Amino acid sequence: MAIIIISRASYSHGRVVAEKVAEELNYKCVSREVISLAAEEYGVPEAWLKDAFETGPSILDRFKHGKKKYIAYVRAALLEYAVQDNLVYHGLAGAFLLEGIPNILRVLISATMEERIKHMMEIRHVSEKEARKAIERFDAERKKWAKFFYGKDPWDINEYDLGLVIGRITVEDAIKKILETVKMPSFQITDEVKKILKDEYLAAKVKSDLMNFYSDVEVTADDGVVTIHLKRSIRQQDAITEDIKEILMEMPEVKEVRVNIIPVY
Amino acid sequence: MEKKKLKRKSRFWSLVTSVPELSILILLIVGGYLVMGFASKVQGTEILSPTDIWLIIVGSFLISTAIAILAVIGGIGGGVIFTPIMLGFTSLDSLVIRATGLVVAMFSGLISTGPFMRSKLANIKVVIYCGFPITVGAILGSVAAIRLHNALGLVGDGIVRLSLGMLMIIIAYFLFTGGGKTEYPEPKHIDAFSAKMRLNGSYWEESLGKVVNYHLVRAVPGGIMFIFLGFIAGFFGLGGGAFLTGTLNLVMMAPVKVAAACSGVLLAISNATAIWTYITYGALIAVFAAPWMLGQVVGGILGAHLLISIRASFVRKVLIAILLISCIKLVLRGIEEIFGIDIPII
Repeated sequence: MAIIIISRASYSHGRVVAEKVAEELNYKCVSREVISLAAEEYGVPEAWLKDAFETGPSILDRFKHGKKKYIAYVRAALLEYAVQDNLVYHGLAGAFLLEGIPNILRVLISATMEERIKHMMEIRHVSEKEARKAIERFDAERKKWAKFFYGKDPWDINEYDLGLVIGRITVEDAIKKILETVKMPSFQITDEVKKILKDEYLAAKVKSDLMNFYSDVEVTADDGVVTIHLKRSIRQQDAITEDIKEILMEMPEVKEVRVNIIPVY
Repeated sequence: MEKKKLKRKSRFWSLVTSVPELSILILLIVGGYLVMGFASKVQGTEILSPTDIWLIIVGSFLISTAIAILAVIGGIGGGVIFTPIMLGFTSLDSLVIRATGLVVAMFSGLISTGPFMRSKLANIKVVIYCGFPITVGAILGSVAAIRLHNALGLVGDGIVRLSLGMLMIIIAYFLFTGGGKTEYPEPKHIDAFSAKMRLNGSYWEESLGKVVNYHLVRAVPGGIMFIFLGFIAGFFGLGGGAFLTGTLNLVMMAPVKVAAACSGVLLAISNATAIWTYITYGALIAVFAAPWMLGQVVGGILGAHLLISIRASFVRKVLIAILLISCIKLVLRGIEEIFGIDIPII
């Protein structure tokens, strides 16, 4: 009864580790499936969602909220898997997507540069120079991405519970280490955590729906009571409240809608 | 989506009928203009034909409506946009602009006064307490404006433009940073004077699903600040709603919603007071001020009920950029008028 989020650097053998861990534990293992689910539920091409995670923010992204919306969709899809428990997710942003939720085991898997270059050369059949350049570019893009959307460094070990570097340890050792760690009481999904996951899932779903209309919306949920937080003029409070209630009217999980307008001045 | 658009459209019409006092006001003004038009009371002057006058009236109304829409969305008062732009970029008499600016700011506050009072978000005790110092300040400010104008003429106008330009830089910075507001400030100690004034209240906070109780503190320094803010409003013909909200929220520790609501009411009170000095001096020209006033009413209603999904922060950035351009122009014109020199920029 656990959720393992594996954030992996490109060509670091993270996928193999994640799949083996899931197999050993008999858990569901997802990565691209989350993107597919989000694409299906929100009617957005998978390529757009993938692009939102793979490329850093452009100058335009500082003014529009397209990528933020897609990230919200993917977060909602990941939480849909997470509420079902017994999950291994691998992908770079997992730790950030489920940020703040307790008892989830967050693992960072990287590899020495030599190991990554070797792995990429084997898979992509490229030269050492090309592989190094591509890996450095991936890392820089991901760092830029995480800094922009979460204000954090994806390679900072303090964001994770466990950091493993393939090359210094073997893939088998990494799997063993994760399997040992996940048995610890700190990483068990209790009823309390299940409730948090359920609330977060509802909030993420509502946020995804509302982001089409209110790009800067923040949502919290507690047992079906959904609170919408928006920075707007206080004079727009009544109109916004009415509008949001109308939008959320058709969500059966939402028992009550509360709108918190934080006045701007 | 289509359904949503239709709903928004019908909401606008229901709004027009649900605010009868404003609808009547709009009708009266429009009616007044029609009577003027039919009776040919709008006469041409040496430099303006009747067509030009009508164009100015209609143009003023449209610009005022646009300013009000942006102001409501951005959470900024209309006066704070109107006065610097007009003082910076037009050659109209500065007292006429400031008097009209007060009308713009007053109506910007007035249209929200009713709903805020009805919803009990604006606290009547707080409004009355802060209303005294702000009124005193507003009268002093407007009298000072007229005195300066009479005593120094063009140089006086230059001083006004220069000091307003510099003040607007502070306002723009304050608006940009958001003033570091706190949603529900919790005062550690309620001073004796504030307790004696009973500056407390409560309101229903829907997002929390409970009643929020609050007590304002630092009534004395807050009151002194309101004299100063009233003076600024009366002297420059600005509303200064952001400063009023900031003082109530950060100095007197009112919850941000209460502060925003009270500032709307206080804005209307202070500007309504200051405007009398300008009226008695003859600086308020009804034909010029009325379309601006009407635009504030129409734009205020539209801004509050339409375009609700537009991010306030984005609109604020646009407005701040406009304000900063106005600041530069005001400072340059101020220097030109004070020192009698010509600076060939914009």
